Amino acid sequence: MIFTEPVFLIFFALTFGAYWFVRADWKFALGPLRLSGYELRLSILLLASAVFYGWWDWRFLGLIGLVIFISWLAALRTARLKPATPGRRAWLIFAIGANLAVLATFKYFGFFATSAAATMTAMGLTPSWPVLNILLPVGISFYIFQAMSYIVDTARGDLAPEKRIRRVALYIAFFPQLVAGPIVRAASFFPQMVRAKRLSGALVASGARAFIIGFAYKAGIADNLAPLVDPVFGNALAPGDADLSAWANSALIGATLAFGAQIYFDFAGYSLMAIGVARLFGYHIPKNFDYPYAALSIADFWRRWHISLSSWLRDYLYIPLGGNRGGEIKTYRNLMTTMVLGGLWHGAAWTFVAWGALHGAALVVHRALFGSSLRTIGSVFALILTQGFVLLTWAAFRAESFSDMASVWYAFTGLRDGGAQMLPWFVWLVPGLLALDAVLGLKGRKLLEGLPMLRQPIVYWSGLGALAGVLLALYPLEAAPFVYFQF
Amino acid sequence: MNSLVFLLAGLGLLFAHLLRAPGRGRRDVALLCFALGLFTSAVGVKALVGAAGLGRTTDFDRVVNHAVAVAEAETDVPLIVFSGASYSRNALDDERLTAALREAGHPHKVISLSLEAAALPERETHLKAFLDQSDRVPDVVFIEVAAAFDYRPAQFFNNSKFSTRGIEQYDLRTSAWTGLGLLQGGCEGGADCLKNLGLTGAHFGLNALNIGLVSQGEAPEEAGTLASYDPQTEPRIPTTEDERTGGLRSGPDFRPSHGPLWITSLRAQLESDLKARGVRQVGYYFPPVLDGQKRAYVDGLCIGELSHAPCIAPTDPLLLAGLEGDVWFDPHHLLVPGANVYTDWLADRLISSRVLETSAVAAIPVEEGAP
Repeated sequence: MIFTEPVFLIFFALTFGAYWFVRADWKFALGPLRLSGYELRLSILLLASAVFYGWWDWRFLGLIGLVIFISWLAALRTARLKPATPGRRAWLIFAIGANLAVLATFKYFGFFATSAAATMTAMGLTPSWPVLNILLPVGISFYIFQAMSYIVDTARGDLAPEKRIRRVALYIAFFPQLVAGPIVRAASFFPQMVRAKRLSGALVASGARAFIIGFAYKAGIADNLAPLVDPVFGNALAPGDADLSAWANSALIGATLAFGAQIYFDFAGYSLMAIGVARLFGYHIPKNFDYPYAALSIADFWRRWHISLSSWLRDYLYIPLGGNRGGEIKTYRNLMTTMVLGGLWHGAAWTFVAWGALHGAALVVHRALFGSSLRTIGSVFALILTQGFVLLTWAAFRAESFSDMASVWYAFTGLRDGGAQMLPWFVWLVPGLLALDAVLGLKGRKLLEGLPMLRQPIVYWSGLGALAGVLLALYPLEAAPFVYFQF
Repeated sequence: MNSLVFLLAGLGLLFAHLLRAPGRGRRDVALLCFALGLFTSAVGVKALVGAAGLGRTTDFDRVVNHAVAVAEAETDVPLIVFSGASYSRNALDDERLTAALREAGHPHKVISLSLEAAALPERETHLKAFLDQSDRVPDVVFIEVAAAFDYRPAQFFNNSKFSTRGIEQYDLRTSAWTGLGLLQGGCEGGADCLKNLGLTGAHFGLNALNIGLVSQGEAPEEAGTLASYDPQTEPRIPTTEDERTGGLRSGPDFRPSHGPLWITSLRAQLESDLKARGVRQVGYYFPPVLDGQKRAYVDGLCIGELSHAPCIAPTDPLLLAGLEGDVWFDPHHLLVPGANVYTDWLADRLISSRVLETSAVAAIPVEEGAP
C-alpha cells in the first residue's frame, strides 16, 4: 500500500474517521481493562500501522515487533540503573547491538558475504559458504534508526522511558512515516502522544495542503520521470539489466539529470505526504527537504536534503564520534566516517559507499576552505559548482556498478564513444521544473502577498479543482513504488 | 512519455505552491467552484491531448497499426476486414484466408481486427481508427456477432476492470451504448445490473477525468504492432471427445430472430456509417464454438435481423464434423488445426456466397499450375 494508491485513500478514510470519531475524554472499562478515549485513539493508530505494514508482508510484523520489544525493555532497564554502571552499559550495548544485528542480517548479510567471498577469491582462496537470499523488509533502515533514537534518548535522559509498550510501538511503527521516514526523534514524538488534539479546519487545511503538494511531486512528476531514467540505468528494483553502451553521451547526462529530479520529487513527495497524513491525526513531523537544489555549498545541501537523516547521523554518530571537538584531522575523520556510513545506510552496495565517501570528501574540502560557513563564493558560480557536483554523484548513487558510474562520468567529458540511442528532447526541461519548484517554494509566500486575490475562496476552490484535473491526467495508472522504499 | 507531462507538471507545481486555504466560506460555493475548476481543467487537458494526437494506447491500437501496415503493403487489391473478439482472434488466420482466396482466383487481402473481450462499441472505435489511419477503404467488412456480447453488453468487465484498455474505451459513446444495453436487461439479475452499471459509470468517470491520459499519453500510431491472429497450440481447458461430439452435433432448432434492441440499433448504425465511408458490403459472421445454442443464435440472426446482408453462421455439418478432433483451445476457442479447418471453410463460404465477385477490382484469373 503506497500513499498514491486508491487503496490507501480508503484505508486512510477509515482510520481518520475512526480516530476522530473517538472523543479524547471518553472513558471505557471492559472488565479489568480501563481505557480512555485518548488511549483508544492511540490504539486505533497502532492497529492501522500494523495493517499498513502487514499489507506488504505480514510476516515482517514479527520482526518489527521484536525491535519494539527489545527497545522498550532496554529503555526500561537502563533507566533503573545508575549512569555509568556496567549493567546499564551492557543493556545499552545489547539493545543497540540487537537493532544493528537485525539491520545487518536483513539488509547487509548478502552484501558482506559476497564482498568477503570476492576478497577471498582475489587472494586465491575458494570460499564455500551458503548464499542466503533474505527478503529486505520494507522500511527497515528507518524504523531501526527510530528505535535507536528511542534507546539513546531515554539513556541520555532526554526522555522518560515509557512503561506502556503500545506507545513505544506506535512511535516506532507510526504508519505515516514508517516505511520511508522522515525519521522522527523519540524526544519529539512522545510528548505529542499526550498532547490534546482537536480536529479543526486549519489542521485539515494544512495537512491536506502538504499531502496535495507531496502527491503532485510523487504522482505528478517523479513517476513521470521514471521513463527517462529506467531505460538507461535499468530498473532500480531489478538490478542487472542496464546496458549503458547503447546510449549516447547526451542520454547518459540527461538520464542522470532526470534521476536527480526523480529522486528529489519522489522522496520529498513521500515526506510531504507523510507530514500531511501525520498532521491530519494531529502529529507534527518536521520537514525533510528544504529545496536542496537551491543550495550554494555542499554543507548547505546537506542541511536541505533528507534533513531527518543528516541530523540523526549528526546527533547519534558524528557528535558521539567526537564531532569537531578534536582538531581538524579528527573532524575530517568523523565527517568521512559519518558520510560513508550514511552512504551504506542507503543501500548494500559499494556504489552507495562511494557516493557517501564522495560527499564526505566534499564536506571535508568545504570545511578546510570555508570552515562552517554555508554561503561561500559568488551565488551563480556556487550554485553551478555545488549542483554540478551533486549531479555527478547521482551517477554513483543510481549506477548498478562502478563501470556504469565511470561511463556516466566519461559521458560528461564528451570523450566517450557513446551509442546511438537518445532520450527525447524534453529531458532538458527537467532543470526548469526544479527551478520552478525552488522559486515557488522559496518565494511563494512573497508572491502570494502581492496577489491577495489568490486567497479568495472562489479562486482557491477553482484552483484546487483545476489542480485535481491536472494531477488525474498525470496520475500513473500503474503506481510506482517509492524509490526510497528499497533503503 | 511526452512533453505535455512537463507542461502539466509545471502547472501542477504552480497550483500546489500558490494555493493557500482561505478563511471560512460557503460550502456550496466551494463545491461548485471545485467542480467547475475540475471540469474546465478536464476539458482543457482533453483538448490539449487531442491536439497533440495522443491517447492511452492499448493492444487494440497495436492491432490497428499492424492492420494498417498490412493494408498499405498491397495497395492494388481489395480489402476484406474481419472485426471480432477472441473467438475470431483464435479462429481466423487472415494470412491463410488471403492465400486460400487467391488460390481460388480472388486477389483480396484479408485483415483481421480482432481482440479478446472486444464488444461492438470498442470494435467500432478501432474499425474507424483503421479507416482514418489507412488510406484504404475496405471492400467488405465482416462483423462478428455473438450472443455473449449481444446479451452481456458489459462482458468486458468479466475479463478486466480498471485497466488502461477499460478506461480508454469507456468514453461517452461506449458508456451510453453499454448503459442502454444494461437497462434493456443485458445482465443477470438486479445485483449484476447494478454492479455493471456502477462499473460502467466508474470507467466513464475515469475516462472523462482523463486519468493517466497524459502520463500514459502516446501517439497511437507509434505504439507498435500486434498481429490479430493469435495461434494457440496447447489446450487451455482440455475437452473430452464426448463434450466435443455432443456439443458439435447438438443442433437446437432455430428460427428467424433479432438481437436485443440496443445491439440491433448499434449494428444498423455502424453498417450505415461504414457504407457512408465507402465500404461496399457489410457482412456478419461467427466462428464455431462447442455450444450449439450459441451457433444457433447466429443462424437465427442470419435469417432474421441480418438477412439483408451476407451472414456466415458456423452451422454447416461438414465444418462441425471437421472440428470433432482435439482442436479446441477451450470450449469457445480453437487451436491452430481447428483454425485451419475453419479458415479453409470460411474461404469456401466467401467464394460460394459470391460476396467477393462484385468487388471494385475484378477477380484475377487462376493461372494454370498456380499453387
